[in-house]
Amino acid sequence: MNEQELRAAMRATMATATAPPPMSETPVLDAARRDERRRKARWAGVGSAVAAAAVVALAVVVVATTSGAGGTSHVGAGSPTSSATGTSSQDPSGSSSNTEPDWPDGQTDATATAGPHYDTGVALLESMATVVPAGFEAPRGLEFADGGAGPLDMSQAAWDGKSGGVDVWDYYGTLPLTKGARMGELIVDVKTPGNEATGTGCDLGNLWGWEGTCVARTVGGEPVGLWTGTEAQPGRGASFRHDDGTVVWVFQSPEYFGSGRQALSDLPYSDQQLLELATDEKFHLG
Amino acid sequence: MNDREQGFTDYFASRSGAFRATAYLLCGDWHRAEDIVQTTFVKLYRAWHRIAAHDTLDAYTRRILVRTYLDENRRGFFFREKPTADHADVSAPPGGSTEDRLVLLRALGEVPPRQRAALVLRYWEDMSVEDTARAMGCTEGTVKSQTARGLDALRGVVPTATFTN
Repeated sequence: MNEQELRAAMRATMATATAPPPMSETPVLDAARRDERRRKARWAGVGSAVAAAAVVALAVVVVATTSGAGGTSHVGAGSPTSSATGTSSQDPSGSSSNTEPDWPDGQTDATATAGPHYDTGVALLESMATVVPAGFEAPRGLEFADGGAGPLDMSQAAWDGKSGGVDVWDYYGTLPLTKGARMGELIVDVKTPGNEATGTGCDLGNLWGWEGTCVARTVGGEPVGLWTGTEAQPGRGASFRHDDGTVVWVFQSPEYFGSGRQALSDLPYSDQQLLELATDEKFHLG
Repeated sequence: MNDREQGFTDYFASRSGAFRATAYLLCGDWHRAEDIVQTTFVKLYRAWHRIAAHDTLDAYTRRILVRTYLDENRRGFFFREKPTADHADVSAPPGGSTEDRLVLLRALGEVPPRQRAALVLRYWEDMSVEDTARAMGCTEGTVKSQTARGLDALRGVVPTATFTN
């Protein structure tokens, strides 16, 4: 097949493909509005923190330079000083001309490819490898059966912006778990303090917003969400917020999509083990 | 609905079909293609004020779309849901080329994501090497090598003289 043949084949393919009905703009616009509200709310929080700090600083100056001069200090509450995000976050009107985030540590995008945060991501994966349950193995370096990107075991450290002047990081790892020829996977996702997740336990939602049902449980008196996935995204997970705001999701799937392997007959971890993993200090990354 | 939203929805109505087709060739599944398009437009909405009036809007949107697709694959296959059904894709017009379509889609499925993106942008979108590089966020040399490797991969899985055109 040469270039011209591929071009012709693509056109013939799309000419015979019967596309679904046109997409409706309503759900997309709704999703875009929700996304904007979340981003605004996040920056409102940052702005409030900045404003509060400014009020305190101003109060100190006032106290130092006057004696009991009260009154109200009007401080711009919506002017986060962080340079960490794009136009729509810093300026909902979109009038700013600078939309490129200032990536941390000399990065060219959100993903750390070296340095301490990259190392933390790698360490997360190694920690995951220490909790492989009896009877299962965690092979390393296996490739996707269909030529997909990267090995099946992988980790990533992604910068998630700033909150209150502090960098927020999202670390995650995925580890294949095998029993014989069958394969499932363990996923751990950790967001450092300042993250956008709200609530505790079930209120945190499922991993990456996946659908599922949640039952509230506790570990050591702390609320943990126990999730059951769906037919399309099978598996079970646990969601937990540490006191410092770090959020941990642990998810196990009976299959590793793209691995070319048959799904596990049984999930590797019991519900209790999964709940304890979510609260384990191994995954309390800062 | 304000002016911003009206402009955005008008653009979506006029262009989402074309972007969905590109996404379909990238991922081979209508459900995923629509997810990719939706994610793309949510990201586009963030920058709408800045980019809407530009004549590079399509290029900008296409770049988001390709990177969304690549990012999805980079983050791992677990990130996407499995297709559970063939989405309204069973009533192809008569003409005997449905099999060809499936052959091509299966063959593209054997090509790694970046190579596949290079092939789709170059030969479906008819983009130049330079524009493809810009969309993929890589060098022109990388586009050439990814395209060549992608074609090699296709030759390995598609029998010669398969397509009836």
